[in-house]
Amino acid sequence: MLTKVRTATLSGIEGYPVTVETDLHSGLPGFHIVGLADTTIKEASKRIKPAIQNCGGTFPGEKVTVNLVPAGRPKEGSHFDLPIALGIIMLGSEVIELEDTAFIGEVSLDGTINGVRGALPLAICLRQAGIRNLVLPLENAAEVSILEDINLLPVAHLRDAAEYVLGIRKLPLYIRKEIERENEESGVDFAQVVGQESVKRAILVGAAGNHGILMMGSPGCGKTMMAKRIPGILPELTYEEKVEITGIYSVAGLLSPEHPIVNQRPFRSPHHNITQTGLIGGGVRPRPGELSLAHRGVLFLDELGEFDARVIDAMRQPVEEGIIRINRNLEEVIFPSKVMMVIAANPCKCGNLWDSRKICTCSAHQLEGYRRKLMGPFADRVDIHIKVNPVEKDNLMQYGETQLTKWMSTAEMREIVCRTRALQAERYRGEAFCCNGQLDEKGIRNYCSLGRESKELMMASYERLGLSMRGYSKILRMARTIADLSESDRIETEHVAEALMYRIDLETK
Amino acid sequence: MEIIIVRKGEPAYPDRLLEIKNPPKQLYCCGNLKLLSSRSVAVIGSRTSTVYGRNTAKSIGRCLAAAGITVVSGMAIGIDTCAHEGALEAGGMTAAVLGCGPDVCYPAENKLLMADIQRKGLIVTEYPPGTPASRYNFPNRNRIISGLCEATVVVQARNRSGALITAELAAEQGRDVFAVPGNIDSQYNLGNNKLIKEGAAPLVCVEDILEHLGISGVSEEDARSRLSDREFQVFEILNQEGEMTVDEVCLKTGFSPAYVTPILSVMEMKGFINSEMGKFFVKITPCK
Repeated sequence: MLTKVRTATLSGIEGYPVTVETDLHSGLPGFHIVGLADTTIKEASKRIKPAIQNCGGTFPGEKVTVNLVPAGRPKEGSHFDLPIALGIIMLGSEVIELEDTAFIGEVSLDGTINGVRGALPLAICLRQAGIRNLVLPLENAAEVSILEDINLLPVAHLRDAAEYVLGIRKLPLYIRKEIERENEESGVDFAQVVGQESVKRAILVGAAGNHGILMMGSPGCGKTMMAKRIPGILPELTYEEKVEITGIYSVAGLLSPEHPIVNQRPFRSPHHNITQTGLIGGGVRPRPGELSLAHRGVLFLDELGEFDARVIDAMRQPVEEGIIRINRNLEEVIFPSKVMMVIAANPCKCGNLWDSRKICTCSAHQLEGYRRKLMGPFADRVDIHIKVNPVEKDNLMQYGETQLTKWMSTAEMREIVCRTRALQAERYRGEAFCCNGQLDEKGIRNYCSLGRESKELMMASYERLGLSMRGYSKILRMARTIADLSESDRIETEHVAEALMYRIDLETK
Repeated sequence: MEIIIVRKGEPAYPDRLLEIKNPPKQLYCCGNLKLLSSRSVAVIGSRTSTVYGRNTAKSIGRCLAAAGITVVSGMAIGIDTCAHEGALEAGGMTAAVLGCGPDVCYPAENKLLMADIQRKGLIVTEYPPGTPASRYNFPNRNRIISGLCEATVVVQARNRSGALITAELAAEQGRDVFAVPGNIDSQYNLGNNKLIKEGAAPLVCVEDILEHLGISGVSEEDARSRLSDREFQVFEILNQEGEMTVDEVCLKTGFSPAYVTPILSVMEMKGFINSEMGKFFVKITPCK
């Protein structure tokens, strides 16, 4: 006697379909699961037997063998409980047609179905494999409902699922709630940032061209405040992006009933004592790290100087390539990591170096060590470097009185960013990159040509500042964005000049 | 390289040397003769020196040369060499006064430096070609070093260094003497510290000497002629206010950061302003 039930398993943040084959044959009573199952799945044998019995069913008194196909790839997750339990219940019974139905869910000893991690990526791969109906825990229905072309049949108890496969009853379809656009005013707006228009301008350039930003300045001058407002000025997520990000959060187990779907750009701000695994991702069963959780959003590293140097170094390649490769037993797992990097750093260890009213207590040795740590190869890969000064009290008063300078608000800035991004998308149609921040050497050659005058300025700065080739490319990329901001086809001298202001400063280098 | 003899009484003979007690009868020169009468400062010190001393000599050399001052020294190893090197690095002028013939390289390891100075600066000596280096010649040569210069800076000197003789001669000749303060428990600094005790002006930052010479980096006329109107407008405000952040410039002018930032950037490239610690200011001294 043999039954087959379809389900799927996770590999990183992607799923692949698995068929659960259950066979009953004569022999001493026993329950074996084969097919590179991990510990959670092996333990299913201990959960399923009492669960079936507690639902009033009988567990076969002969030898049960469960095989997970394809048998050569590792499988993990407690969501195999439901398909395995159903495979056993179906043995020797009349069942409904299940060719395009798949099952996921974790079973409690009393038969209750619990929610699982990674339901969305599992559903995505099953949909691709031709599955039309998905039986899943009630808890996961909201998150998977982002997929529109698959029938969701949520179940709360093993008995319901059993009665469904045996054709005794039908399961109600999950009714999709309109994904309410969480337009909740988060209460943060760039208009609240007073007297830092030049930094906001740099942030605008960064957001418009997707350049990384490093803000350096004394504590309390508003670096963190501004960083938190950056996701707000980025363009809204597309449907595909929402699915992608929700999938990552699903695997990480970060979705809650209140927020089953990620529909705003992520803002992740890991504490500086984070480990390499926490940031990059990894573990025995690879889980996404902060870099992947910030995918298509902002990764904010506050106090870069406090992070472990090796952790910073490990970020270099993922940030540049936009993906993380992790090799674990038998498999390579790929996590996405396209982030907008926003970094805040103090000018020195005690933070007072630039503050004329305070005294810096760092020794020359400490300053040098701090500088070396900060301005390493990682920071060199961040395009925009900007200094943030505290706003003087007198000026603050003046800002209140005169309305000379207009504060840019989040809404205004977002409009400009969206316009500029659209311009870039149009220009780079058919290219591997979609915004200026991603331009490679070839892209720079093709799209960032300079006029005679701006070339002269470039050459002058080349000599004066001792720019490296990388520094040169960075300035061209930024100049391209600044030109796009003013909707200019050509990169003019003033665009290059502004870009030069956002370079790494030699004095701190 | 051609050796030119400049005799006392000839127009090329520097006036400043005429002011001293026993001016040399003739100078054997190799290189740019104009340097004899240019504004110049002597940067001297011991052969045995510390890293601190050598670095300081180099940056003083660089700073003076960048300001258009000729750096005069004795081409000995140690401090002298560094002073020459600093000047050459900054692309400025430097003159070496030798205690041997103009065609003799002493010390021999400075052969490359000597060639460089000949090409870009000036080699001077009162000894005819072929004269070997001799210890009796050096104290004599020192009076020419101090005599050629408006001021003498002693960077680092041990207790009985020849540099102290030069400083003494400079004082006798009525020229200013600066000494770089040094660590008091290092014997390498005994000489220069003693000079300060005896009344030499301490050189507490490299720019001191320029201030003393009355050289300031950027003049307003220069700025007016080399900057565009919009740039000059921002320059004037910076000049009045001292140091300012970008946002303060915006507040003062009512311009947007997008307008002000490129202007500041270009002025920085043109060498009119400096930025440090996130603030901008008009350059006081043309070197940093």
